[in-house]
Amino acid sequence: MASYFGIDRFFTFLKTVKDAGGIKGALYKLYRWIEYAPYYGLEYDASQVPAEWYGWLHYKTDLTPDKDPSRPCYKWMLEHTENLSGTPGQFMPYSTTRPKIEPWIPPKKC
Amino acid sequence: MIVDMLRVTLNKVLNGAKLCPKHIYIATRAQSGEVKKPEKVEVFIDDKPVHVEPGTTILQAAAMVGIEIPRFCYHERLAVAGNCRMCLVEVEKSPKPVAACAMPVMKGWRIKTDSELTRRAREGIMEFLLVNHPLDCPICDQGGECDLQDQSMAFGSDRSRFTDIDFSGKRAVEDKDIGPLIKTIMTRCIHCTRCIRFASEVAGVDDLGTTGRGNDMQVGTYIEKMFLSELSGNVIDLCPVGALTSKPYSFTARPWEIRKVDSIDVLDAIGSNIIVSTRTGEVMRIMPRVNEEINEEWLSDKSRFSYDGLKRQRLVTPMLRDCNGELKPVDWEAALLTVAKVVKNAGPAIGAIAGGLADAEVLVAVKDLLNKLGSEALCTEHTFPLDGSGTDLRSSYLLNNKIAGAEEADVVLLVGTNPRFEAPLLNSRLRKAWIHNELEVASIGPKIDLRYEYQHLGNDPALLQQILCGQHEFSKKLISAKKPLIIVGSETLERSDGAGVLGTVQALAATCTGANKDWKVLNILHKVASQVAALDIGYIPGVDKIRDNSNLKVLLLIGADECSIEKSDLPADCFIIYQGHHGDYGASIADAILPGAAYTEKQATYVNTEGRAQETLVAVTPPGRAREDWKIIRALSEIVEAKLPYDNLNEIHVRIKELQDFYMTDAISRASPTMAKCVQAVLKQKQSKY
Repeated sequence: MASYFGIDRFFTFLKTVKDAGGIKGALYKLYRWIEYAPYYGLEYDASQVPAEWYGWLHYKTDLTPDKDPSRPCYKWMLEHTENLSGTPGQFMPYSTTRPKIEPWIPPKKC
Repeated sequence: MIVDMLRVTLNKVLNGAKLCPKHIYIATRAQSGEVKKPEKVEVFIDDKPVHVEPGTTILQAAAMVGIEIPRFCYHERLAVAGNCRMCLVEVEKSPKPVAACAMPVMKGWRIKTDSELTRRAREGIMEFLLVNHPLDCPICDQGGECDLQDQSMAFGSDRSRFTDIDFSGKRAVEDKDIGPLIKTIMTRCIHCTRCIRFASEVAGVDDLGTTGRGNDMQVGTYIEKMFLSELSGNVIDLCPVGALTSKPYSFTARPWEIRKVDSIDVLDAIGSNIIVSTRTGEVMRIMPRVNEEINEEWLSDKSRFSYDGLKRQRLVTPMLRDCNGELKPVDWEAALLTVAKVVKNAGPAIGAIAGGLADAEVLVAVKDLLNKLGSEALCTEHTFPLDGSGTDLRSSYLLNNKIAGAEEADVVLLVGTNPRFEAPLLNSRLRKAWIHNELEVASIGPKIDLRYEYQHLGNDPALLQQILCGQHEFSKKLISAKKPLIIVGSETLERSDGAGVLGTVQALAATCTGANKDWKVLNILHKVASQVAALDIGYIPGVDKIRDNSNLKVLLLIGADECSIEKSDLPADCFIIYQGHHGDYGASIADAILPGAAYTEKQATYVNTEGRAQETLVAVTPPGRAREDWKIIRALSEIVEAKLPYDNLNEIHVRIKELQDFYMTDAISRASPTMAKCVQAVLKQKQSKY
């Protein structure tokens, strides 16, 4: 029933269903879902879906990113990252005020 | 007797008694003699009878019955000027109100300090002052502690006649640049001339003066010039308005949001009493606290302005040198365990050097710890001759005649000391005696400017021998003097011939004892705050003992930053522990750093050069992971299994009292940007043609 549709660069399978039947089938929709790559294990979450696949997954478009000619591609665009909250890579806010005490920094040995 | 005196003062400190009761001396010490007192005159102040000595002014007589007459120009410690007219009072049968500060009382005078005439006179004067005073109060640094604000509220008129609707403008005066410490906003000046009188009378710098008359009068330095005095900061306190304010403190805090803590200054050996003002855990400023015995109400600029050094170059975390030879921050547990292991392995091969800012508590703790480990190698950074009785007798290394006693002297011989920089407040006392008491000063040492005239005998220690033998013309003066003083700089005694100098000076002091038996001729002026306490506790002056010890394994530096010992002086495998509050020379050669607290951050005892024990109080908490010094040593002692028998400040004070030996340019200033600016300004001033 389900058919393989594409694979993102994180090796997550994205699949679709041609015909699910029932009410859902009556909506003439193709059901789309993803299966996360095995190394995510149970630590999967929606932010791991790359931004370029978002449109396809949410039925905004039927074109997959590799087949979409109008997809913008600038050199300043960053790689997609998942939500890093709760991991060592999370964003930590920091104070921009000058510290009240300037500590001594030991001179480097040459 | 000195022993008892120190015990008394020390007991006072330790029992938490008030450190310095405010004595109010209206007459100067120099005047108080054994002259027969003339008959007192009776005057009535607001119908209250009071008996005063002839010559007392109305203002002083009123103060005796507790009536304060408003004033701007009058100051107890300065000459009477009588130019602000704020102290006008009515005297019965006198046609006009008289200036209370300048008018001596006459017998039977009836003075009315709160009559209609007096009040009208005050309101009129206030109006005149405010006509040309800007309405700056919301942005003025003096706001909240301004005499003009307070007195206009208390004595000014309750309505204004100022109707300058055309904004023709108040009088405006150009600001002067008188250096990096004092900010001038001359428009605010009310011409009380306190700063001028302070400069010429106390500081001895006749730079300030007035130009013009009436509405055009201006206070200034005539030519653009820095107010180059080591006591210059005091004009900030003296200025009754916000014309002279502190540059480093400007726009940083308001008096009502500040927390004030009484403390002791440790940047010279005088031990001036200070008030540390803090806000949001920061030292905002340091001001003098009145102590007639030590600093009167003055403070030297170094003590007043170097507090910003307490925020820079600080040691905030323990550090250990890693395998690459770099100092890396670690936590206390790792640092103490490493240090304890090294100390334990070293056993008795451990030494300690105490620097100039170490307090008595840490000195005692280190001494006890090292003694428990079997070591006696406890040294101070600054040396002192050990010949003869050495430091066994307390009187051989103290300013025996006390700081205040210098005022009474009639002949002073300075030996290798520049009190103007080593102890500015002692120098101001000498200057006071030179003015009021016809003091004769002579100096052996480099030719320097002391801000008063003195006889420069030469720069040769052999002169002392000549004076002793009576071959020098000065020896006659010294022997015939009633109250001679010999003040020896501790720096001179650190020279290789220091022992000889001290011996000669001691002999000289024995020959001229003066008329009074209680008068102590020989006085040693120390340069650093910790020296007397260290010698009292039984430290060995000088680092020779450490240098000669070839199998030293561990060296503990307690704030020792004066480059007295270098790595090359020590065995190659010697482990150096630095405990202190500033990263300077000592920290850079250390293998382990234990961050301590500076003098504003701990309750600690310091003994000043005259042997007076005084206590600092905690104004702010030590930064980061820094801790009080004696507590670090106490914690270390527990790990090296030589537990020290005291757990709190009271117990360590008991231990200090037990110690029979007690008889009962530093790291902060170097880190201070304000001090650096002063150096720059002085260099600039030196290049100026004026």
